[in-house]
Amino acid sequence: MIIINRLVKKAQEGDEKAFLKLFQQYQEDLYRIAYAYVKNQNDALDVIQEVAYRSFKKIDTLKNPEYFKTWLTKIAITCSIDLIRKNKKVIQLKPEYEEFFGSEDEDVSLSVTLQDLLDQLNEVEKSIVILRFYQDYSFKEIADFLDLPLGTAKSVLYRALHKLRKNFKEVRIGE
Amino acid sequence: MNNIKEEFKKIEIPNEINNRVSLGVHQAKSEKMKKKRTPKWLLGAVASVMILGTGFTFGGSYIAGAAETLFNQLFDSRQNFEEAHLEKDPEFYHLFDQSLALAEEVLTEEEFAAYIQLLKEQFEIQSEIRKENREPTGEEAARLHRIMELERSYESEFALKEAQQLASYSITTPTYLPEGYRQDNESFSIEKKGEEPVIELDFSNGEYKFSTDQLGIDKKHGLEEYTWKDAKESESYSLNGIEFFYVKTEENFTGMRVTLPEKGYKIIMSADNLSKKEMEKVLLSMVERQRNS
Repeated sequence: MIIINRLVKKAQEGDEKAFLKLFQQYQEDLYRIAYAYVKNQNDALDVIQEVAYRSFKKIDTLKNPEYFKTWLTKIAITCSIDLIRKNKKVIQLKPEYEEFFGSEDEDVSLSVTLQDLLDQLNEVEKSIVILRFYQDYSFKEIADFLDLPLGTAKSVLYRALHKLRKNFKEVRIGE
Repeated sequence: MNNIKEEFKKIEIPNEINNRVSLGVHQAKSEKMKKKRTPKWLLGAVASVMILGTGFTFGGSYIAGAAETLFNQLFDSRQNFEEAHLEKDPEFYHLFDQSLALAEEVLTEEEFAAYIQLLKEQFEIQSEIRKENREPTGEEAARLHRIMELERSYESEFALKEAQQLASYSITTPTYLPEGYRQDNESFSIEKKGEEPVIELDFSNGEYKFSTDQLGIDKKHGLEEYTWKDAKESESYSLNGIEFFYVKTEENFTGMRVTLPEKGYKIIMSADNLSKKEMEKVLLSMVERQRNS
């Protein structure tokens, strides 16, 4: 039986080859996530190198191999935000929790350009949009992942969509 | 529908990505090697039942059909299993069914019964943990670790047979081993949907290890793509009419590749502490047996 936990186990025992096999499966997604934050190739490559470094170094702390992808995604987002903060002083926008746009219906239709996504959203908004629409996480998973209350995760997402809406050709929320 | 996924796909992936990943891993590895290793029992104690790579197509239904019954006999019902393990991919069950059918064919009756008992125990512990949505206790983690070690000892009996069904080339094993070395493990893995398996054999003499990976001729191995690129020494040559490649990395790990285009495969070997001559002897014993057959 071919099971992923064998590779994780091998990697946890220090097997670089096994780790690379695992990492390779996700590296393109991770690169794109990093790029969404840092917005240039050189920094995104720096982030990927850092993600590979941190994840291999810490893989023995991963208790549930089935969360390997989620775990890597989390490291990628942390590394991206660390790099942005290192490069320039950024005042983090506090999510306005009480703000809530649209309905709770998750069926969201929108058309958005990459540039909008990169330029219009703050870090928290970007994280939620990426996790919801690129990585297909549920709101519950996103809330756990980012350590936010469920309502906050939803409200931040809808605020992000609202921000983007100004430039969209088509935005339909809750249809 | 939304187009965010499509927009993300527009972010081009630079070729340099592989080198950067490799660099990060190397850096972590060299730092880790300086530190004491975490006790083994703490590591990887929790099993998951996720399959790595799918995409097998099963021409005949006899295995799936027969083993479907086997699966149901063994694990009550698939629905219960799905609920307990959150595994819904039908291909996972195909693969599982095939494994079970092979296990039954290869193992003795007693061995098969013991193997199934282990699987049942593993799944029961895992279901309990999942149901309660918690981390395993130390005792559970240790038991799961032991169960999986025992399972592997049975699975290695049929791993190569299972892999052979999925590979287009003939799987080979060495007839020569350097003094003091014995085989630790044999397994196979499939990285991406639709790809052929990589056959992995591990050997050790108690202190040092070496491994061989046999794979399709067109497939790139992680070592070739990353580690070997920056090797401090490398040499391509021919031995007994067979194409060889030898590398030595900065950390003094050695690697060797033998390529057999006419047979459609290559073997990648990596060793902690073997001479070039010994590595050649191991690989020649693997390929010449097949060439002469």
